[in-house]
Amino acid sequence: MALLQIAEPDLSGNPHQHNIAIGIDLGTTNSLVATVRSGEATVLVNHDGCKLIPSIVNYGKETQIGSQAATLRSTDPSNTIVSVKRFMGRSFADLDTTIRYPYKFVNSSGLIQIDTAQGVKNPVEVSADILRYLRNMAVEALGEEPTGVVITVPAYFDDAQRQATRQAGELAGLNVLRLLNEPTAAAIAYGLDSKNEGTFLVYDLGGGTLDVSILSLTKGVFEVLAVGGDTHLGGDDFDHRLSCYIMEKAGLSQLNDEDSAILLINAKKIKEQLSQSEKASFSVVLSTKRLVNFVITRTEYENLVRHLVQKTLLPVKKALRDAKLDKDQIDEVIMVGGSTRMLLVRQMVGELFGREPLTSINPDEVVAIGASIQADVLVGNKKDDWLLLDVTPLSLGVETMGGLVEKIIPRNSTLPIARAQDFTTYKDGQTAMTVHVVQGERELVKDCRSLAKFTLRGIPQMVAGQARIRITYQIDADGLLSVSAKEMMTGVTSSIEVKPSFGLSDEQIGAMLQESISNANHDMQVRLYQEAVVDAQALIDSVEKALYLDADLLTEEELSQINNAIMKLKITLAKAPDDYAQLTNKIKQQTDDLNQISSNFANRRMDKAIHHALSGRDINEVADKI
Amino acid sequence: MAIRATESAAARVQAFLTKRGKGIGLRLGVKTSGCSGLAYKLEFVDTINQDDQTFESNGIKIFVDAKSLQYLDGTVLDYVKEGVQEGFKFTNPNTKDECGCGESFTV
Amino acid sequence: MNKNILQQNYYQLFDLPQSFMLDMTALKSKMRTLQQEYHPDNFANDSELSTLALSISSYINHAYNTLLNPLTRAIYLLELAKIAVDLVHDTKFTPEFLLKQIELRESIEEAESASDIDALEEIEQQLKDEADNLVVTINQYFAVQQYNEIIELIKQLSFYDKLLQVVDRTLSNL
Repeated sequence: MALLQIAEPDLSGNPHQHNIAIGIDLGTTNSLVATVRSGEATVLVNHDGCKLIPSIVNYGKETQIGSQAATLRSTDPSNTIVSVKRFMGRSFADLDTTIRYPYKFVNSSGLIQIDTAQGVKNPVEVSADILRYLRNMAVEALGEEPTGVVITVPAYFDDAQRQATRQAGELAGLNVLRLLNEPTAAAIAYGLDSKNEGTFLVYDLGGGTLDVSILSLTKGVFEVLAVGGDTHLGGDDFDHRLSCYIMEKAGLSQLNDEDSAILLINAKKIKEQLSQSEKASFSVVLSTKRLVNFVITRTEYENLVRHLVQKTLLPVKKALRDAKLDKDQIDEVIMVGGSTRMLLVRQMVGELFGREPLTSINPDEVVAIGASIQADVLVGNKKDDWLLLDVTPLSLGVETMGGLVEKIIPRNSTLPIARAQDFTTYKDGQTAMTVHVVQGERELVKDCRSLAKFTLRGIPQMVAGQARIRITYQIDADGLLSVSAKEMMTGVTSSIEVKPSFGLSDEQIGAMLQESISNANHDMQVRLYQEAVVDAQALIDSVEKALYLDADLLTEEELSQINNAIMKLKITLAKAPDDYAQLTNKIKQQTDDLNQISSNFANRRMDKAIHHALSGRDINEVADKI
Repeated sequence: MAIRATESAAARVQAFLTKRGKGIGLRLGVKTSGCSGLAYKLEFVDTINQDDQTFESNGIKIFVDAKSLQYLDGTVLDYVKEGVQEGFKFTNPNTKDECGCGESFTV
Repeated sequence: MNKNILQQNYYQLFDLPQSFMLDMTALKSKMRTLQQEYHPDNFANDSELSTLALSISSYINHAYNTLLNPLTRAIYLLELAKIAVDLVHDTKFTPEFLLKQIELRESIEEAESASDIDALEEIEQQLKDEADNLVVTINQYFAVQQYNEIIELIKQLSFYDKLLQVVDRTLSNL
């Protein structure tokens, strides 16, 4: 039974038709799902009462997700995918060769794929499995399928990474309303919580990424002033550093995958303990039967990782520059991400700004909370009295002569945005022109990320430099790009929805969707059928009861109409379902018919009841009679 | 005639109202649609309507319009946790039947 | 939704007097009001309206950015007065101006190769001051509609604008 929540005035929907909005923080290390209930954003729990679901998927005998998968991390490392977010929208060539991964990577025409006991998996599929788990959590906690979802991404994610995230959401059967930048989500959570106005800097240090955003909130409009960060710097790096140090201290070298994982897990535990106490230790037996005892003080640890924290401050300063702000113009500093629990991080960020950073909302939950608040507005549960104006994190340009980049949309431009630039032919009689779309801040094409290439044909033959070709870049509110080219004299056009060069092709996505839908589809059809039957039965029961009591309110013709409709519906209900969808539709149609035919009857009964009440009889008596 | 909120329901309503930053209480009502279509309505209240009846229970104000009140008299509103779900629940002495999900009912 | 908004010039759009002097606070707050009405997020469930909203919202952002920056604002005002400014091909400058530009470029390169952040920040401040002075003068000429002088100053301002971008990029990379 679904429990009820309080709606905004005049916004309560019809029974059984709720707009369930969820926000998902799809994190490198942990993922969370939140929703707004009775106006309050809450993080949902799974059956074990956990809010933080480890972003870990194990593809052993069966697919295990979350904490179950985490327990397999040390015993089955090659089938246990952790931090898959780092591979989203990345090419094989992007793989960081300095990190030793325990997986069997497969280079599938430039794409990263991982060979597991269940076959080859790509990062989008792995993320979709995590998202599906979160969706099921939401369905159980809310009793209904979510209407729409907002998924958060690091502000620094490029187009390819965003596309991959959106694909994963679709693959998990979610209606993705919006990709929201994580720091922006955090600011929404704090901004609406404290009803503050001012300029916020969000410092988000998660497991794998650092994100810095500067936002202003004025009269209900969130404006992102600048974003920056480092896609390869996070809590995991601290753990790596410590685990190397442990190896050094213990005189270990060349660990196998299992032992590396054991050390990493313990390094992480040590880091977490040192946020609470001055000293931490562990002892563990490796697969080689070697016993490792390790003790470290907080000061020793802090000296070990100070350079990493220092490194996180560079993107902070860069973002300030981009926003054209001094550090004393920042009203509040918001800490997000589990890694900001580290005291050294809070201390060094605090020192930079000369103020205590905000930590009142749980740094692990704040992003999911903000995402759920925006999802709630986007599905229409709340008349929005605020608006979010986001910016594009990276400049977008086009390749020009000599492999140079001509910027068309500079980074930190407010979204949505459309910009056009005119180009011309460089050879006499040139009839085609290739448009190469790139993303990044560097001046040479080879230093930027290639997003797409397409060719405009049919340019009329002219002397070089005569043709006028207008290239238009349009970025929507999600940060997704489409590009078109038009020859201005003839009106010849060509356009492309930019799909990531290193993402998945449409066919691949199509095939993957098909597969997941055919499984999910049957379950859903059965459920819809069962719901329709229950609804129909309840309606029949109540109409029959009403007829028994008050048939005298109806004319003979009306009575036979109602009886007919009931009979038809009963016959349909008795049918054995072979095609669930078709039968469900028929039941729904006939239920609606009965509802409509009997609605006058219902009104008359209501009037009768009120008439009785007004004629001075005890209302309880009336209530008993109807 | 009375409508009541349990202590836990009242505490939650109070907390939600504080969080929301505005609102004077809670509106309970029934909506009709079709024949069995009596369904509960639960909303925040910013403005009082002319035909509203007001009840106070455990420190919160509950508003009910006159028409709905006939179906809701004696109702107790509770806030419960059931497994991973939590939310408000109605105990209405007037109902003879509820649909499976507890959201619509017949009298 | 009002489609005609796309036909309005940027000043009409923000309901501001068509002049070089601009009330920035009013511009900002008008932009926010318009975005609150037309941003595609308001039409997330209606694909037809959200497509229209996307173009209107993009138009508002572009108009806002154009008016926000004094260089683009000056060029836009001339465009409204049907006066074209050719920044690419019209490169006639006084020798003094060109010499100064060369000196500035050299000092930026020097500071860059020495990774001297302080020096770069000092140059940045100097460039900003020069640009601000130009803006003040441009404003005076707009008041008396001396367009030829304005065009000269716009050309100079665009030089400073480019140099500022170079400094900014250099500083970001250091």
